[in-house]
Amino acid sequence: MKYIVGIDLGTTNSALAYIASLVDDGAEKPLLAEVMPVPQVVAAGSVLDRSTLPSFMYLAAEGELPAGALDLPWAEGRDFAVGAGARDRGAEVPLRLVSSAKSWLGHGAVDRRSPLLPFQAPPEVSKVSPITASIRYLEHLRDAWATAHPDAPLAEQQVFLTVPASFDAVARDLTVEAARAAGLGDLTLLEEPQAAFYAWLERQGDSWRKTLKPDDQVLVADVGGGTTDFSLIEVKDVEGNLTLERVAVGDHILLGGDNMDLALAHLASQKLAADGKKLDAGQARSLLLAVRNAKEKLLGDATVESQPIVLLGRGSKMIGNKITTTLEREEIQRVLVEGFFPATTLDAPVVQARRTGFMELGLPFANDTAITRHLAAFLRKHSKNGRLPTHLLFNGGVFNSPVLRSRLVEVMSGFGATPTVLEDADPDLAVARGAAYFGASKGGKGIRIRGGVARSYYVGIETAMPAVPGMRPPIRALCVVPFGMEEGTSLGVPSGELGLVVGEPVTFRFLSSTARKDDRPGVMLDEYTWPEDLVETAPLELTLAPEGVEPGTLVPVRLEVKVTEIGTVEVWCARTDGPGRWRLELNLREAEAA
Amino acid sequence: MRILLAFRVFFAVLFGWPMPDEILLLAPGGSGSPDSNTDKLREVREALAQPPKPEPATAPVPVRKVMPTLDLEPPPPPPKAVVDHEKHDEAAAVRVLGVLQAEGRLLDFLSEDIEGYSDADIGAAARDVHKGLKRALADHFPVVPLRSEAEDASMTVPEGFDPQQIRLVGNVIGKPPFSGKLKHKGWKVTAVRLPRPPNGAAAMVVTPAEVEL
Repeated sequence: MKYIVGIDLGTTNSALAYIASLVDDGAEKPLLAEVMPVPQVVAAGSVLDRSTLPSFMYLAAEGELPAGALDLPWAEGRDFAVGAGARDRGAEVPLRLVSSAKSWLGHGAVDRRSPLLPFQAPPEVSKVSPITASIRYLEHLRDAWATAHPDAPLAEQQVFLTVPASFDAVARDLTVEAARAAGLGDLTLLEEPQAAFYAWLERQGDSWRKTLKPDDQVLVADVGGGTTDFSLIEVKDVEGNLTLERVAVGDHILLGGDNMDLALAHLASQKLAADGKKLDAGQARSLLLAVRNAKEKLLGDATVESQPIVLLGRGSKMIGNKITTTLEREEIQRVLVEGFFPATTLDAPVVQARRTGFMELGLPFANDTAITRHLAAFLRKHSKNGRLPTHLLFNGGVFNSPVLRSRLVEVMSGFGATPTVLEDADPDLAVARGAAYFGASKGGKGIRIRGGVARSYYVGIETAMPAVPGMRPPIRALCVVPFGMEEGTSLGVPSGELGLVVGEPVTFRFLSSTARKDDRPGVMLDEYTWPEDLVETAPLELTLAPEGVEPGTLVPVRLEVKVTEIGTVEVWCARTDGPGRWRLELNLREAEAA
Repeated sequence: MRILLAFRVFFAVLFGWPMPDEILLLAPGGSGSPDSNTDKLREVREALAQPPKPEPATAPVPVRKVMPTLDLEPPPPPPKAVVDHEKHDEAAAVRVLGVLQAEGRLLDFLSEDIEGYSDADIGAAARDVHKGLKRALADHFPVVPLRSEAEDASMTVPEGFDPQQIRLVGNVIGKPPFSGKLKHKGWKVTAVRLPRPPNGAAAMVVTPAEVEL
């Protein structure tokens, strides 16, 4: 039996869904993805099935836990754990917990292959790199799969792995690197909001054609535990057929449900402090869980007015030393609804924090907690001729809450939009399910969203000019990959010949933009005309060493680019005066210095 | 202390231990000392000792087993069977307690003297305990009702019924088939998923001491 597998490698939760591959006998069969239960360590010595694998890794100290406490049916003598048990144990020992590895994978200011997680852990903790952590999560899913399907190893299945739409070429390359290291063979990347949309299509069957009309625009609003992502999908009429095209993706915003929990925990501990009650470390941890539960109740049912927060005493005086307070609807309204989803206008700017002289090298968390202002900025940037989305698809755990859903619709109507909400089923599992469904549709069994690459890419070229002391020669940006370039295509970049010196390492700056959709390959942008939305990704590096050419010789080359079927971008230098073609490799170590 | 009794019964059902005698005092018509119930006690003991009948037509809910589970471990060799079986049961029971403590702080709850606390205080804590124990039950010993009929529905107890699955109360006269009303649906565990057994001496440790560094 062959399977089509969708994997959601999430920031806080990962999941795997699959569809048995169709034997093509011509019969129409319903395509329904199943979610694989993932056995995982949930507590020391306890292995249970869960529908998702929390994307956390716990690095145990030597002798800290009884022998075999972190063992799995397929692995013995483990000194680390991933999943629910890792997350929960990590709450007790934070400096040994690796979290948000995916956000680090997409973070350009650090060397993502170097062991830097848990961030700020003391030197005696043997840290792992963001890429290693990602490998561990994927390996766990691979082995769980092998236990359930011993005759069909994951390496032999078609795997569709989702990445945030905002991941640039570097983060995508690293994701592929992790997947390869985890032994996933036949691999294709897919954008998460698209996967969520596929999950909706999966449930609609053919009736989506009745719901969506040409020129409709669907906004996919994805707010998960740690990240917020927006995408726009447009319905087009191509020669009488309805087609779907992903026309815009937003930036990766590090803001999500976890921030809401922290804000509530802060409020609750202030209330407790005002009553003269002090929390110990254990109670502070329980507080986070307690406010999360209270939040879910209050945001899930608008008729609930208040929720008790009970923190049991930690020792034997569990009742005697318990601390209680309450969370009121008014507080949830003020802190969460007004704090994260405030009413705003379409022209409201995203609030930037003041820059201090020293910036910590941690994750670039969003300064403005207002998700609605981030949305306004996204729509301003991407809506053509003031057109606003006609439909809205929710994704991510935050939108389990009907209160927040209706709030977002309300705010959008303030923008002048009246989006129809597309009914989704399970915001936590939609991405994995949709990825599997996409795989099946790629095989010709369903509808496909067109999109291509979500950014345009540029290579920085140094301009020839007389050297001026103390002044760097200006750099111009040569567009090499246009927005929307389709997977599986390549092109030669029309430009003047470039000269490369043989035998010396050459470094190119590599830039990208989610906003410049009309730049064609070969277009050159002057540095001073660079708009703010041209951002630097990791530099590209190459040491040219063709045989039979003296080192130091100048060789004429031109650039060729390729968007692979997997969904990654490759930049090549091809010699124009003879045979030879070299790939420009991403240099992540340089990125650290940049 | 009915709650303690309830747990003794729970373990008795789970591991096939002898039923505590006091359970009969709670049965309808069963008041007074255990002595006045010796006949009834013997009957129940005999009933419990009977070999289980094959499962009735109500098919058990299939549950995919995750290691480690009790029934996946190899049976002990015959000569030492009695001793090993007991040790095995004891260790397993301790692990059950461990799960209930870890998830719902059951031992902390039962061990605390609640005399001086208000019902509101106890209630607030009980909510947390209830939630945790419920989760522990669902994860480690998922239970389903034994009977699917509604409570108070009329039902027929057929000839040759399994006394392990149906307990008769009230006017037990004559021979089956009986007709009566379902008063309690009964419970059965669909799977037992215990944490992996610890080594040696630690077998009696329910929950480790906690030291904050």
